[in-house]
Amino acid sequence: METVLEVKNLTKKFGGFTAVDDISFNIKEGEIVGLLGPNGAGKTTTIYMLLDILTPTNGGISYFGKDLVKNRSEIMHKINFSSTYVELPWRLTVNQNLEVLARLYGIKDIKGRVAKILDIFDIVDLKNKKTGTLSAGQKTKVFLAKAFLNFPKILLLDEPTASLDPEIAAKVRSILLEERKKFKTAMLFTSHNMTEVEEVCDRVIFINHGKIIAEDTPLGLASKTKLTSVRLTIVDGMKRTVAVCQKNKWQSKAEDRILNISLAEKSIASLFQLLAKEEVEYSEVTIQKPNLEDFFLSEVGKYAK
Amino acid sequence: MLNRLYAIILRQLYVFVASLGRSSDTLFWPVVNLFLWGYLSIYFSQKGGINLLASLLTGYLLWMFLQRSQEDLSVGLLEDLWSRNFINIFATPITIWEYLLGLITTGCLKLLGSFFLVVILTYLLFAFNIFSLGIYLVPFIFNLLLTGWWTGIMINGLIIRFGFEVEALSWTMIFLLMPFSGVFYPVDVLPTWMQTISYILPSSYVFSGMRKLIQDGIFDWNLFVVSLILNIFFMLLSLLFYKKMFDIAKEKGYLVKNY
Repeated sequence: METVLEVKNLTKKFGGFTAVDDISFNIKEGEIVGLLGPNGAGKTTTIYMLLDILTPTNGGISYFGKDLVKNRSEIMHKINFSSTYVELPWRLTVNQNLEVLARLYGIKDIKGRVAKILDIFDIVDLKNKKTGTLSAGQKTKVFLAKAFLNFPKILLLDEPTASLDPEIAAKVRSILLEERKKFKTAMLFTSHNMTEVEEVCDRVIFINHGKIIAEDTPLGLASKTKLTSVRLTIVDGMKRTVAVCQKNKWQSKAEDRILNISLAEKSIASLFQLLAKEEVEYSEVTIQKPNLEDFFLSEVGKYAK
Repeated sequence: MLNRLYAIILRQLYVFVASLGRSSDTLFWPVVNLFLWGYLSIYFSQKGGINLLASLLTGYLLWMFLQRSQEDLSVGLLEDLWSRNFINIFATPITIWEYLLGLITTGCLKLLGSFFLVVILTYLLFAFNIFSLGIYLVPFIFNLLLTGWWTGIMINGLIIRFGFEVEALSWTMIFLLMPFSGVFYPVDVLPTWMQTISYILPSSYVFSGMRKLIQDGIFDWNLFVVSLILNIFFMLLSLLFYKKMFDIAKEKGYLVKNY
């Protein structure tokens, strides 16, 4: 598969503050890559540099094997973006906004393309409404529609579903996956919704304080979190269970009759053997394997300490 | 009560100090008006027998080209900044030069509308036909458009670099040129230090040429050429300045932080 985006040693400094610190990665055709990290990690700064509206302090960006700075206009025809941090002119209707942008991207059949994209995102009824009168969710859909206007080979999506309700967000995710399937569109995707990232992304790059901390599949990253969570509803023997946990140095947290225990997956069998030995009576057991959110929290927690 | 009163005064003073727009209302306009009407009065008291109506109306109509061409260029940019649309535009294949050209073209179309409206009204209300200046109107207008554009380009560069803090320049800076340009009076009535500034302004040569044409019926090519050379010089300077300001804003992150 062709590499559509290659980032080499990208760095951005604002005075003495390093927002993005020597990051390198690439994205292949049709690949959806999640760019994760806490607020202020450098995700949006990275996206702005990839859009050439922020000059990097160091490093290089190339799309389709061509340097972004030297081939800006040619590259911009093939990429697009959507961000919760940007607006469209509020006095213009949705149709007018999309028409202007379609012209900027050099689309030939403007009317046809705008009509098609409005239909894909199910916003035909909004086309004559002024953009400023739309709800946050409607605006987000219009923005995503705008992002697909020029049949981009790569899309940069900065929290694209941030203000959508779960049902519409799910629809948007399915559209993203469908478009990827049809046109092999690559995507760089930032989101705070870990379930969404797990569902959509083939690979995740985790950044914190501007540095890449980890890079793997969502499942691969989740498995880096060693601890599994066991949730027990204790009928009799809460004190004995807590004592067992303390003795084995397993973290536990009690809430009424419910006890959450964090331990390595391989220790689960020992836990139940010990509970049987102590004659602890429990009514419900839930074992939750680590997910991307656990990884996110553990990594962010590490840095906070 | 005094505390609340003080709070309101304090709040207004903070805005006054922080906003160029507010302070220009208080300081800039009175000074500009003083210069304009003061020197106009001197001119009228010194000269007799001039075609007052023709001089003033032609001065105003030509001034409109200078003012509108600059203002449309700057407000066009501000429209995109106010609506936070700047990133959308510059994340497309467009170049900063194409964007500028787009703003200039839109400005010209708007200006054409304003011009014809004012020309018709001037004719109906004052029975004055600016087209009586004939073909010489074209070089006058051309030079004034150039002056408006390079001023606008410089202001746009400043807005891109410094953000909304300097947006008031879009409406005020051009009027700074007015007293020095001799729109309604010849620059000879100005004190020497002001005349020195007038000599480097292309617009002062246009308005001198206009008065010469109205009063003596002569089109002075020397004045036109000097104005054109100065305009070309300032235009090149403004384009370099605009590019530099854009590059700084891109490097420092002002494009993404402010807009």
